[in-house]
Amino acid sequence: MEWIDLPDDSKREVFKRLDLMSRYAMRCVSHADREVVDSTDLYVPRVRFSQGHDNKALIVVYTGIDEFLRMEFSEMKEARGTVIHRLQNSYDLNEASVKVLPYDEKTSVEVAGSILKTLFVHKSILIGTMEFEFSEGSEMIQIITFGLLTRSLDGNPLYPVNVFRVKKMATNWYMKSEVINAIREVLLSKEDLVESDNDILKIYPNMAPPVMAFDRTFEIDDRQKIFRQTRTFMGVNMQTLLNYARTTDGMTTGRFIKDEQRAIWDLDPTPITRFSDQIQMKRFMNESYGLVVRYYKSDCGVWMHIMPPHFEKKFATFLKNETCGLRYLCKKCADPFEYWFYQNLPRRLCNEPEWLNIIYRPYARFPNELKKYNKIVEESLKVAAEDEKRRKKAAKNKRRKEKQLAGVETPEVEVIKSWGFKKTAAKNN
Amino acid sequence: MTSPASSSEVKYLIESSEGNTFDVSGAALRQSNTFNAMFLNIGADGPIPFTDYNEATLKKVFEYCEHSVNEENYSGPKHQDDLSKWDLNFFNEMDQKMFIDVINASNFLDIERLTSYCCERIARMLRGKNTQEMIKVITLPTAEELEAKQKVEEKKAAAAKKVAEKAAETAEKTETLEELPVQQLVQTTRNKLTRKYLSFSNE
Repeated sequence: MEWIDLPDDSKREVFKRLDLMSRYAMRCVSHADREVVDSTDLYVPRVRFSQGHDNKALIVVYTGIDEFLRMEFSEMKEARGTVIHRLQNSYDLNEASVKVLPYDEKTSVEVAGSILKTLFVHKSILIGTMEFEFSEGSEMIQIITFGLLTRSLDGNPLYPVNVFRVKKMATNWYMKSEVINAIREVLLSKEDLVESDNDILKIYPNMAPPVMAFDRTFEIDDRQKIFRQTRTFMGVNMQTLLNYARTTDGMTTGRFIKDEQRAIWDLDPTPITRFSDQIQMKRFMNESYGLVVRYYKSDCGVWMHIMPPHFEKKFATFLKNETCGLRYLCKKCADPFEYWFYQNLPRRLCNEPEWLNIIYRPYARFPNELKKYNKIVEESLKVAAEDEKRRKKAAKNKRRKEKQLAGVETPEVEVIKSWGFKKTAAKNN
Repeated sequence: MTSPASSSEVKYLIESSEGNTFDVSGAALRQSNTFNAMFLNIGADGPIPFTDYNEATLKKVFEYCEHSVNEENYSGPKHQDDLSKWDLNFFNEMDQKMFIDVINASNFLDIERLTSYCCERIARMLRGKNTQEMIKVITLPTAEELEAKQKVEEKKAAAAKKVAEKAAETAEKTETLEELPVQQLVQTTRNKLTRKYLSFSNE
């Protein structure tokens, strides 16, 4: 029996175990194999599209914890054309496989868009989170970027043709709501999308993983689809939560994992009710603001939902079914990839200094605030770089210790580089 | 020989595509969900026919099953680097053709652990390769090879047709020969009767 005689079911079992690029290469082996590949489901935890300054674009495909493919697109300065730097599990452009595309009347955004289309627009591919990160700029620039992206997908802003199957859409805080809505309506499949998040990461000079998140939930529709804006904090800032709640037409939530934050719960005199076996709840009305506060405590941490009374009825099903309110901050309950992703999000400061549009920065029209904040970012960058060095050293030491304990020379686990991402690949592709 | 049993002592006879039979323990066979669904409760009279697979493949599959009888229940794919020395030797001994045969048989027999490991090994052979390299790995025939294969098959078909035609001709001749004595008999009888009748009428 040969490969071509192997039944489709067995081939599918093999294809399930292929990485994204090998799967794509396999599609081109034969018509029969392409059909089987296309009927094999693939789940990609996260895909990120970033539009940068100087007509740059970036695609990062997160395939697992600590595993990602990175493609950076920039326009050539002297000759016309697009340069693509392809990296696997690395940020160092010196290690990149470089490919030059001759000028084809396409911008970097369009080239990136067409690659996104080739790799991910298919009914068998489901993306966990698709992140769109636009740089600061006028609404017009964002609309043009959206237009270029749509054109590269052979779509029309009014009649979408190719759409991504995405469970959660994530956008950065610079993005205008009109553009966010347009992306949601035109580029993403309505059947699969369950959550739409607008993310902001607020950093503090002492580099640390996030310890709290505040979010504003504007809408949870009949099918429990959630639309919200999230601010992730690497430090404590309780005052923001109250300011948020007063001005939000929806539900405002604070999520805390640090032990000292749990003390707030103990200080509150409201009687405790049992919400479920694992969760205790305190519910009270804040008369001065006219808001309902629902305060929860479990082994994972504490969280509070604050909302106008009519939203309590509106979100009743969601509130009734909630099991852990810490989202990606909870090591125990969150999806392991999501947990890893958000714990490492602040590392973008040192790993991708050109692509920091998720990080909060005051607008240019507030120069004093901006100056102050830029200083914080600079300090954080230094701390982040030192932290990265420390982390690498600790990992190296850990490996050495493990080897000593095992008493035998264990070979390093071989990482097979994806097709197109080897340094020599540029010559062949 | 074969009966519904839970004891690992019970042996079952397995028949391969060559018509050969060999013993496999009940404990090993119970790793096959196909076997569990078809034979475990009702038993089997005589050898169990797995005649789509050759003896070497089936023996390889059941060698693995016999070895992993005492292992914990399969709970999802294991990292390749966590495989035992025996497992590694077992897989290293197999060539690509055998891998494909084993995957196919294991898939039919629904032995999750073996299917998973074999598929992982094949996937490892393919990972990181471009299309051309993949074609080499799975030894997919080129267009010329396919054409040559088709020609050979056409020739074989033509030869088979000729043989069939000859056989048909021979059969026709045989039929005529076989029919002769009957016709002769009929004719003789008719002649006799005619003669009788004529003689009678003459009388």
